[in-house]
Amino acid sequence: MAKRRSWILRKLLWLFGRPHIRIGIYGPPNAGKTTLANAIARDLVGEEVGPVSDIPHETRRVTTKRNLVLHYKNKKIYLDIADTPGIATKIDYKEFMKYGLSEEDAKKRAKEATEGVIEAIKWLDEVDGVIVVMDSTQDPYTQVNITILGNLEARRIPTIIAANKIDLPEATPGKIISAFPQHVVIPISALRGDNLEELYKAIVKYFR
Amino acid sequence: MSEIVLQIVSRELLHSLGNNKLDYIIDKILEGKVLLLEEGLTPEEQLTLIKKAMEKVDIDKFKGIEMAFYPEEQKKYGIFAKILKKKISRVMLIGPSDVISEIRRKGNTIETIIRIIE
Repeated sequence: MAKRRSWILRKLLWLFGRPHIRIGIYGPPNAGKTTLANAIARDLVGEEVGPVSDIPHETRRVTTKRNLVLHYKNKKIYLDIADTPGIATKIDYKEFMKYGLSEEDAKKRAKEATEGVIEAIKWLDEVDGVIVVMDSTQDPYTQVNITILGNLEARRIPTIIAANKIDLPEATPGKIISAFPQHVVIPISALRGDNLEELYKAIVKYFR
Repeated sequence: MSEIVLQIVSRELLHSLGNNKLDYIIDKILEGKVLLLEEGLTPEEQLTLIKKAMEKVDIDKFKGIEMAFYPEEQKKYGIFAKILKKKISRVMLIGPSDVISEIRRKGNTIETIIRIIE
């Protein structure tokens, strides 16, 4: 993808051209970023973006799906989705071995995961808006979440927080809403597709 | 390793380092030191530091960093912060992830577990 377009260019495209929004899906590992990217792509074009796994850092390269068509008020809006590797401050191959990976595979995965974090950070310059995916069953006030949101604020990138995994009984999306009151938070279940319509409305409202 | 060095880095030193600040921090972390910065980093600097740390990850020797800080409250800078959009965190603790094994936030306190590897 090319560099992020200016706010004015996006507005002009919205009014007179082909509305086109480039969205980055960011967050810590295992928050459900790829599950969300798949849910959106499946919903809009019937295809998936990438594989999902319980093992952290399953997505180790930025994966894109372009020209997904979202129908909104008799208008076609084209979405490019970039599913990014989870942002982490540390990567220990021994963690992967707990999931049954061999030492060799775990080390390879760790090496690729570090490269994925670097690539994800670089991609922040390419997107018009970011969906930060957080796991509603976890404490949201982590250094990684704070750092991601702080960067999005500093770069003035429109942001929506997707409070994911609300299908789980222990989910408390209210904690995410309380932790980041300055941001739009949409509780969703990417796995079941719950509340995706609300997410689409927020995308159109805040990213166009 | 049988002892951990905690280095308290003054605001003056951080300012004097200029563009070399993050390299200084990474070098000290690679030496196994835990740093307490009198003045924290901006969000952009934090992300750049994560990127630098990932570049330095050595599967067997260096696994990354842990950091803990309080984000600066915008109101303290008033209108200038809104114009400049600079949010510098307050005091910041940062170190190698195999030394700082856990960080716990409890209301207005941050607890960190420092592990000494024999």
